[in-house]
Amino acid sequence: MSRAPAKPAKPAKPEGRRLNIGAVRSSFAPWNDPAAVPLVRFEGVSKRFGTQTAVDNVSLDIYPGEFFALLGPSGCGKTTLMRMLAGFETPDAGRITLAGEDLAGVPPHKRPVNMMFQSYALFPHLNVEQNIAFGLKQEGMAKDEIKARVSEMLDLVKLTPFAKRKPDQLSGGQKQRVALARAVARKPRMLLLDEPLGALDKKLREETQFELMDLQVELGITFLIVTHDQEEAMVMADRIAVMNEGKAVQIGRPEEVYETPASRQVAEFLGDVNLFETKVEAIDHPMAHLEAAESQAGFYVLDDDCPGPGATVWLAVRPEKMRISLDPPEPGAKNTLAGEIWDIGYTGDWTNYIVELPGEKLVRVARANSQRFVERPIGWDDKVWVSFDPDAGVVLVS
Amino acid sequence: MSRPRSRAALIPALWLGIFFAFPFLLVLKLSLSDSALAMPPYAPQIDWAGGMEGLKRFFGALDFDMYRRLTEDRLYLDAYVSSLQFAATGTILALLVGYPMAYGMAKCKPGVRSVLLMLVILPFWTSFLIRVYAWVGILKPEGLLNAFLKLLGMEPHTLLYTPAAVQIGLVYSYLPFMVLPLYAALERLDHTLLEAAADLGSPPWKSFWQVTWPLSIPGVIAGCLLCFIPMVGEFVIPDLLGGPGSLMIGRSIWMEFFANRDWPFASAVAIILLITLVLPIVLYQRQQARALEMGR
Repeated sequence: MSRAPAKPAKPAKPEGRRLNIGAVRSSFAPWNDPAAVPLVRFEGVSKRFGTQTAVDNVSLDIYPGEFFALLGPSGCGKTTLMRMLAGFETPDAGRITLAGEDLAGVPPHKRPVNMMFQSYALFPHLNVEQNIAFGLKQEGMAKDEIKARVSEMLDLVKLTPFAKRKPDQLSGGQKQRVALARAVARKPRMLLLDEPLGALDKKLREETQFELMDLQVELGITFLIVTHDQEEAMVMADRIAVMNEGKAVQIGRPEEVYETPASRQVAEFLGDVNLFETKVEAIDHPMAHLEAAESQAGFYVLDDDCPGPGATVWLAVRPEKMRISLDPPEPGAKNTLAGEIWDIGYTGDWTNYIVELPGEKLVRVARANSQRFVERPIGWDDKVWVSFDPDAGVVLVS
Repeated sequence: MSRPRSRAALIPALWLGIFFAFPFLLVLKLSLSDSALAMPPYAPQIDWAGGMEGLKRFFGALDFDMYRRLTEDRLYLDAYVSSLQFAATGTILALLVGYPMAYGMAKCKPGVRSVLLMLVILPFWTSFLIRVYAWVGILKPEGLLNAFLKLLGMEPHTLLYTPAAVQIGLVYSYLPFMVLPLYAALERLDHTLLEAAADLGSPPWKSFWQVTWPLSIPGVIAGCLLCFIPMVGEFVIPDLLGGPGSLMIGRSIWMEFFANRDWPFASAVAIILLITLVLPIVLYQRQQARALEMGR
């Protein structure tokens, strides 16, 4: 039996055919339904701290039952936006409505939302049970009813044996679950999660991601999560608002923001991307001809949103959508670049090849290690050819 | 227990031995002696030249006469009770004044905080005696307080040489000892806990009682003990501001020691006072240990 892998014979894709974006099919899309009423609306919301603008004219709608993520680097205003919804900050301009009701002037303790704090903010003088009961006590709920709800919540987060423990006798993961149980105990209209998994280790974080998603479905509460971790946002959220410097630069499904980023900024923030600065040579609908002076290459890609000839655009191609080969391409092949291996990063499931193109341009090509044995492994300083399909790249104008 | 740790524990033990145990034993010995018209004014003396026989004679002469005398004279029991009353009232008043002060300070911006902290400590830069004397000037019949009352068209009140004056003096003098531990406890309070309380539906005044107050209890206990213990034995304030009615045990000790030259009796009074105060000190230490455990 031959151990050599068969070279993948790629079926020729008809040029310019538009398929669905991404690998996930979901029927939940109230944002596309003109009759759907959003639960929360941010309308032109701005917030300044001194001379610094933390949130700059943000408008977004969150629909009932949605798992919505605010994603961005630290200092992008995502936490401030969430804190304005919780009532801890007051917007300088704009309006926030919840179920059609303007929240301006409503103090935090009267808002039907609950927050899970990044630091968990568990009351150190109360035990697990009392922490969870805290919000229920404020409502003036009957004692036996509180007891029943608390045990229901303890069961939900699997902390029943720890009911009498104080927060400082719990592990990080247990604290996180107490904070979660305390926040959902009141059955709020909406749950706000501020970096909920930030303090957990990687393994626990992955488990908790799925737990949170299950919990959201089980409770039927709308979730708004703030995170700087793109994987976290992508895994859990129905939609993501990518934020940068106080602005919501793109709002869409995880597949949309990843596969059709609105700008170089978004493309670079979400995952890795190779960017080529190019000039539009010609539009031959549905294809566009781009010329990259820097890497002395011509590209042939879909002309989506591509301006007319002469304009400067950027072509963004994700590393995993590029192919790498030791064999020269057939004559006349498009989107093929010759280069030399600069660096190799082996991560187990993936291998990242950094290839130096003419003009000292570096591109990253990722290849899934789908086979255990490779006939001709690629090594340092090898001459290689990098190529991608015409629909693999996105044309960006900004 | 590891060796370095037990060695480090030796330092406080040595300290305690030199500055507490040894003087305490001296006073205890004194309290078991009898008064004498001699120099020094007590008997028996240790007869070092007599060797073992002398020591035996010395220990044989020690007795509890002074303590018996203490129970026979109601004056001293009254002085103890009134001292405890003055101290308890003073501590509660200091807490009522000090808590809002500390709370306000902890709520200030960090820059303002350090200035306010400075101001709380500032009185220590002047002699304690002078500060208490200043109150004589305020409280005396033709003093500042009455001048102010007259200005407002109110009846003059003479507070000097009344129990109220002692109480004012106690609260004034020990207020920083209340404010500082309270401030330390309140300043450490995590602000997000109050946000969490608000988020869970608690209005601000309720959050104070449900979150701020319980978390500041270690500071309250520390402040109360730091005020109460020295207040009980306070001698300068009742002496300068109090009249004959304001009986405090610290003053009684002073009188016995210096006016009556009855050293053994003064020592007995002091020993009883110490035993009375050991209870709150033990409570304080236990609370400190618990706070340490909580902080871990």
